[in-house]
Amino acid sequence: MKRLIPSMFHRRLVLIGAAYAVALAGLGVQFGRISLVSGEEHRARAESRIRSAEWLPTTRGRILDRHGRILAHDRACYHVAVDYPVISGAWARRQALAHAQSQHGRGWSRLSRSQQEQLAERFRPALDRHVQLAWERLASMTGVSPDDLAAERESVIESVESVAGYLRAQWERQFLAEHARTGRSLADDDRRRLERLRSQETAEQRTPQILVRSVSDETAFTLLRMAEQRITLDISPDQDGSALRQVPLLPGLAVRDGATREYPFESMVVDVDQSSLPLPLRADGRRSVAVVGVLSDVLGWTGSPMARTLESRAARREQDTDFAQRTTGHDLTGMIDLGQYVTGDQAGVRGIEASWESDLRGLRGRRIIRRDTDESSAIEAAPGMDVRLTIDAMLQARVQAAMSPGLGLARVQAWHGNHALPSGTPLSGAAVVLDVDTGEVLAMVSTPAATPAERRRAEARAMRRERDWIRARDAAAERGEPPPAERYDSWRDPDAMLQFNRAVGVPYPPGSIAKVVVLLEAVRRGAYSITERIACTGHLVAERPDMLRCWIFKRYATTHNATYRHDLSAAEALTASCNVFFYTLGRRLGAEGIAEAYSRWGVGTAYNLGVGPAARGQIEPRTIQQAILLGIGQGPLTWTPMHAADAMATIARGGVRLPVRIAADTHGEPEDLGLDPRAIAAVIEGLHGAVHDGTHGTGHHITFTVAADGRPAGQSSPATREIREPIFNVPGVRIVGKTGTATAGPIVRVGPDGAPILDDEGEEEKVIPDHSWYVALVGPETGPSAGRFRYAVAVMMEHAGSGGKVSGPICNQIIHALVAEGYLPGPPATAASVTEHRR
Amino acid sequence: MTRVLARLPEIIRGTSNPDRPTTAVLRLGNTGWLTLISAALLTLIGILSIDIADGRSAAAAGLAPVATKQLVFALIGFSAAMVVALPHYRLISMVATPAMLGAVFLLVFLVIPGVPASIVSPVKGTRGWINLGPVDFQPSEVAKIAYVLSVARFVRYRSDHRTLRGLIPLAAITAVPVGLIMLQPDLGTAILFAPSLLAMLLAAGARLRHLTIIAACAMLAAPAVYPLLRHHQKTRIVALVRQFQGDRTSASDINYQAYTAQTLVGAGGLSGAGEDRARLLLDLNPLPESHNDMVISVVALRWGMLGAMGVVLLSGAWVVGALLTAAGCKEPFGRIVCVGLAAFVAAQTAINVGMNIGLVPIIGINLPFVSYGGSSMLTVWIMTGLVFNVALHRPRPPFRPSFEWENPQ
Repeated sequence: MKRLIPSMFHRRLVLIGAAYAVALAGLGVQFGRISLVSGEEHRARAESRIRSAEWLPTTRGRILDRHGRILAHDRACYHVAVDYPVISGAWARRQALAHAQSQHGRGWSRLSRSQQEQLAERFRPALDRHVQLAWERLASMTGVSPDDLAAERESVIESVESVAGYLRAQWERQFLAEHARTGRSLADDDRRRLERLRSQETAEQRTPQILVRSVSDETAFTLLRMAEQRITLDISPDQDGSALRQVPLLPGLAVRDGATREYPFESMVVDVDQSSLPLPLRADGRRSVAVVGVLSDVLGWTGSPMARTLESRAARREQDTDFAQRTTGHDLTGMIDLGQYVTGDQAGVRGIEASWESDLRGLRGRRIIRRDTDESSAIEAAPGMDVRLTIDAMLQARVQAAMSPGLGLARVQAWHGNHALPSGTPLSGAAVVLDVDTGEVLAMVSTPAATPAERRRAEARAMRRERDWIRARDAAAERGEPPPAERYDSWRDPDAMLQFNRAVGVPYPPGSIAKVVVLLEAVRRGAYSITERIACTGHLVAERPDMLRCWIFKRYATTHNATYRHDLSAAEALTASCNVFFYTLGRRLGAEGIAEAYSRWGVGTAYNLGVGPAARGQIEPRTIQQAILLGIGQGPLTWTPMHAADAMATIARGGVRLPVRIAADTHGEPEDLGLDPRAIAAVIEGLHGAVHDGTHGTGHHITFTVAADGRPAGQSSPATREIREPIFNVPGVRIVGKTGTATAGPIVRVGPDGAPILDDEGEEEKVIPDHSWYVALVGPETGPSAGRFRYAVAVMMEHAGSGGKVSGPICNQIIHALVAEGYLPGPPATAASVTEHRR
Repeated sequence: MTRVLARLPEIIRGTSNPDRPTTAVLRLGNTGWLTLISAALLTLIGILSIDIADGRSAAAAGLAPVATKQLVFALIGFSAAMVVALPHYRLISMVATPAMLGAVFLLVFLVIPGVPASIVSPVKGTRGWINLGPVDFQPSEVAKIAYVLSVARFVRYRSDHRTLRGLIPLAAITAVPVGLIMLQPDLGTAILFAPSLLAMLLAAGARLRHLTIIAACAMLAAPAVYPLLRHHQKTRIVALVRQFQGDRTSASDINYQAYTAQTLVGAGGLSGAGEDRARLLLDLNPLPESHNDMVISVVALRWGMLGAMGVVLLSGAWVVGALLTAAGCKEPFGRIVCVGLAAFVAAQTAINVGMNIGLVPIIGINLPFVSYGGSSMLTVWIMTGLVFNVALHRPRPPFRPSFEWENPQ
């Protein structure tokens, strides 16, 4: 080297130059790595943003009834939305902070967070008042009551926070998964990032949320104009004009166009032939009965998606590969769920709307636009699937009309002999009509009826009451005091009860209608031979006439052996609903045997039809005494009206259980209970007798007490006479049935004013009412399928008393409705008319 | 003034003897042209890249305002280069000490507390600029030149820097501006003084043994300095470690700038994305400081790896031009000035490009000639002028061979 470059200075220059060349070579290698080796990846990442994607709108599927009538569909409309920070209260706080900051001037950022909040606090009252005033203005302009608007705000907050919680948890999982791939522990910056994710606002928390759905065009345009108005507000604590701030008249107001879910059959007017009503209600001609909220407890409604909505969609996409494939589309960076929820989306939150959400929900289209070439590609939007129900909307409306207090059958009447409730009290209950051959639900009515809007508000009120109670209890616990005396009980809150469809959601003791099950199972298990006769001695235990009595002994101090003049056959026992006969069967079956018997008929298994919470019903006998009681359907046993209807349909099928279906697209396997055909024949004979045997049948007639001149009693003359009338008056229809009068839990007696009646000691007076049941099988008497039972009907009226007297006439009207809708032969009836849809 | 003008030819020629032919005092064909031409090309590329980085659509006519401003800076810089290129560098050596004192004064002025914000307003927490109305002036840039001149003047006739003790005064000369710049704080600029000093000591014949020991000590001491760093400085080092690990969890925060820069470099591929596409990609992938510290990423996006390496090689050509000028110069002051300036430009280029492609933590160092900035443009063009000066003027005899310690003469 020294020879080549003799000068030391020049050698040093070469050294410097060489060092630099090495550095440049290093740069060159790294450039090559980035540009050539991973250039594709980098280009893809840079260009991923060249393409932008936008959603294409879709529509939610319709819900149809069995005849294709549209029960639910989407209609374009305007919604009123308000910025979420205004709804949550964050807006007023931020405004106060901003004003405090502008007044404070420099050095604001040096103050601690709590000092800043303290300075802002004095501007809060005026801002809060302004927001409150804005709510009142909005309520009056949209015609919604301030309370309902407040309830809606609460439900929006609940939904948005629930979704935010879900999303944050998901972000956190994603972050941790991504972090796990790096294989290092959490550093400070990772922890900060995680902290940020945990408090990051979701899109919903920043954007307007819909508070009032489907306002009129006129209201929408007025609000649009008002959304721009600003006023100068004096927010100084003393209102002395020292703090003026420009604020919107209606903060955060936005008018959105969207779709509203409509339920065309929600309110209807049904014509009822008054000549078929029980004597005291009978009149000439037809009577129009308005029914509202038809099917609202079945269809449910839509609203802001909840965390569980998102979760259940994710779960279905995970489990159902077919569904996942169908709903997945290409997006900029990979595959996405075309049905994913985006801000402002509506989802089914109750009923069929919720349980069929993933099918009803349409798939949005996705248009991907290249910003460099303006090329675009699109995945077409696919509308949501229609869901077809087995329900007949017109039949449903007719059944609901029969059960509406307005008609009079579902209202305490003199002939009911109801000692628990004052005369005229509206009665709640449920009725189910099943198609015997298919297991399809033709109608399922639960009363009281309510529109979806009423149900939503009731739900919010009930939630508030429960929360208030929990708060009061916790506050009391904190103070070391006993909890408030008045405990919140959702079973006694009519608002909370509205969330249940009584046909499947509330369990009741079955009473005597369960005797059919006991008989069939006793024969199957060999505990009773179908030819055996059992004596009715008035009470089961010879030396104890004060317990386990037959109803006929209790009421008339006689026995069925006396009325029949011989020991009873199985059919006779059913016809007369003899308790001693079935106590005996219960004793023979024993605790375990009778539990198994009932569970074979579905007790303990819920009918998850997707209409809301479903009750399983329960059977848990421990002692032989209980087994005896269970022989007549009392004791530790409950089931739902759907269980009862299903049991009747199973009998009509000769002991084959079919899955009960409400959506046309569901299927299941039939199950043969292996029953003795002779026993079934005996049951049918017994049920026939119950309806048609004028002497012994418990479900045959009602005795009315009328004035001597034939008019309803107690009006003009004190002289009365009794008139006996059959419960059923449908010509050409074969009917067999069974009454049930089931002892319910004690309830507080209520006077006509709705206030509890107090006894002499000032305690609330309690009574033990009965639930009234009537189950029936019906079929045409003539024609090709003469003699075959086509439909099973179950009616249950809560706390209504006698099965025959209350539920019987309703059952009769339901059979009339089946005739009117063409399910059974009979004179053609005028069609029920649908009134104009009202919001 | 008139006297100065009258003596102008003498000042330029570096001799008062009018009889000497111009070619005897000036080298018209010289290695300085290499620096001058590469500087001009780099400046041009810089202006075009800044125009792209500005984010306007390609359809808009003319240059972006910021690019036009850079063009003006370049013209000012070129004029300044001409001014410093003409008088013989021997005269320039005379102003080395005053220039250094002036630079130190300005650096002190920056960091003394109580200077109103209208004169010294911190930019991103750094008190590095003096507000001169339409433009901001960055004294640390000028300090680089003053520093090189004063070191060159200090070592030109000495030999004691070949002893460890003799290095102490040089360390002191370095410590003053570096310390003041670190107080601003502008760690990036301060760091650049180290390679410059190292290169000048190498050229001036300091013993390799000493330099190796010092460099080794510095490397060993570096981890001890880490706890003293400010939070944002530590963050950048952590960020670089994450990049080496291929960890993209930080891609949206502490490594956003670095990863975006690399994405754009990679998107340029071998030969670049074309102008419209480059603008679009920059618009979609916003890169902070794209016209300034990160301009090489824009070059790579627009003209690809070839374009970026072209810039690197052009700046290499500038450095080579300066080193060749040093090689061709026989006078010690000229030699050291060229080496010191070359080291500044070389280090600055390597670090800036390195931080754009994930080799170096992102610290505020811009790319000479290419990045946007008035002070920086002025400085690098004055550097070019100085190198050209040394290349242009033949040293006045008599002089002895300088820094040839291992060759007994």
